[in-house]
Amino acid sequence: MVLSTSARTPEDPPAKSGLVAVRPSDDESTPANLRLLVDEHLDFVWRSLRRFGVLEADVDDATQRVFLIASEKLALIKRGSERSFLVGVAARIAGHSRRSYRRREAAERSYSSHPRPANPNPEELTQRLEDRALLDRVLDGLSEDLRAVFVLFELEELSIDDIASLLSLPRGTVASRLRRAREVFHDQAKLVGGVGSGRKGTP
Amino acid sequence: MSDPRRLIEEGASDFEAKLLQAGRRDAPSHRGRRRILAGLGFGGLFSTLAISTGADASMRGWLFAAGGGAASAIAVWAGVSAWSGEKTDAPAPRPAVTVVAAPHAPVPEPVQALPTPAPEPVAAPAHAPARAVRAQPERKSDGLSGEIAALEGARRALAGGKPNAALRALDEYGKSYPERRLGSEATVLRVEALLAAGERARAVRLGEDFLRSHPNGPYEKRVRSLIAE
Repeated sequence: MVLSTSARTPEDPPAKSGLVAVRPSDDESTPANLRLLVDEHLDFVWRSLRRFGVLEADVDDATQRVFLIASEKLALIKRGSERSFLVGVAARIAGHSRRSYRRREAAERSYSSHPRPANPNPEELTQRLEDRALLDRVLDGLSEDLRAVFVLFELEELSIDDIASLLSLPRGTVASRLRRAREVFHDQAKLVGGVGSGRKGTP
Repeated sequence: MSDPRRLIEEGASDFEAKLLQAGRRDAPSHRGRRRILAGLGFGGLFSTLAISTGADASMRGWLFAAGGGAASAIAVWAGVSAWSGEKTDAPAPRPAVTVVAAPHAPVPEPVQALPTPAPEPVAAPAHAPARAVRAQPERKSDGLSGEIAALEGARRALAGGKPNAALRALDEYGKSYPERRLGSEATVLRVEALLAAGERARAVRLGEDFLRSHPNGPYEKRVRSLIAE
C-alpha cells in the first residue's frame, strides 16, 4: 500500500481535528511544536498503528518512531496536513512490521504472555483484551489498502471525505474499498468468531 | 453524497459490534504513554500531565499536586482504565493556538558518523587486472519511503540481536540516501547498534558529537540515557 504524504492543496478545507501547532518563525522544529503535535495525535497514531497491524509489544516504539520522523519534517508539514502525514508514516511502519514477522504466532504469544492485571474487574478487562486480540485477527484478513480505509472509517470514525484527503484517494475509491472491506470483515468475523451473520439492520 | 452509517450502528452482528467497540476504546496505557513521551524528550510528570491523556481535568490536577508521590498516585488512579488504556468519554481539551505558516527552516547538518572499517577487498583472480574495481553505491530515488524502510531494516537487525548487520544496514542507508532526511534517527540507531556490538567508546563519541550538534533536540534524552555510565 502506498500512502501519500503530500500536503493538501490550498483549496482543501482545514482538518476537522482543528489541530494545530504554533510555529515560531525562527525555529519550526522545537520540542514545543512537536509536543503539541504529539498532544493532539498520539492516541490516534497509536490506535492506527495497532489496527494497521503493529503488535501490542511493538506499538509504543512504533508510535515514538512516527513522531520522531515527524519531528524531522515539521518544517515541511503544511498546515492542515499533520494527520495525513502521520497516517502515511504510520501505515508505512505498520506495513514493514507486518512483513517482518509471522503475525499469528507473535499475536498468540503476545496475548498469552499478557499479564493479568490486578484491578477490580479482571473478568471485564480480560474480555476486553480478548476482544481486541480477536479484532486484530479479523483485521489481519484485510489487505493493507482495505484495512486502512476500514480502520479509519469504522474505528477512528473519520468521514469518507476526510479519509480520501488523508490517503490522497478519490472519494469513490474510498467508498468502494470500504464496501469491499466490510464484506471481508464479515467473512473473517465468522471465521474467527465461529458465529452466524445475525447482522443488525441492513448489511 | 452522504456517508454510509457506521457498521457498529447498522449492519454488524453482536459479535462484530463487540470487536469494533473494543477497538474504538483502545488507547495507549499510561506506562506506554510515558515511555513514548520520554523517548521524544518529554519525560517528567508535568510533561505527561500537560499532554492530554483523556482524563478529566480534576484528576490531572490531583496527579500534578501529588508531585513526588506521582508514581504511586498514578498507580492508585490507574485502575482499570490506565492498565487497559481505555479512552474516557471526556474529550481532551485542545490547545487554543493557531498555525502560522512559517518559512522553511534550515535542516540541521547531520552528524557525521565515525567511519566504519572498510570491507576486506576481494582478492582479484590471476587473470584479472590487478586493480579491483569497487562498485559505486546506488543512490536510490524512493525518497522518504525508502529511508523509512532502510532504517526499519536496521532496527529489525538490531532487535534480532544482530548489531553488526544493523551497522552494515546503516552504512548502506548512508550511501543510498546521501541527503539523510532521517539522519538523526539513523545516528541514534547507530549509537544503539555500537553499544550492542560492544563498541562502547565509539558509541559514546558518536553520541556526544550528536548531542553537541543537536542540543535540546527530541533525541537528547534518549541519547543521553544510551551513553550514560
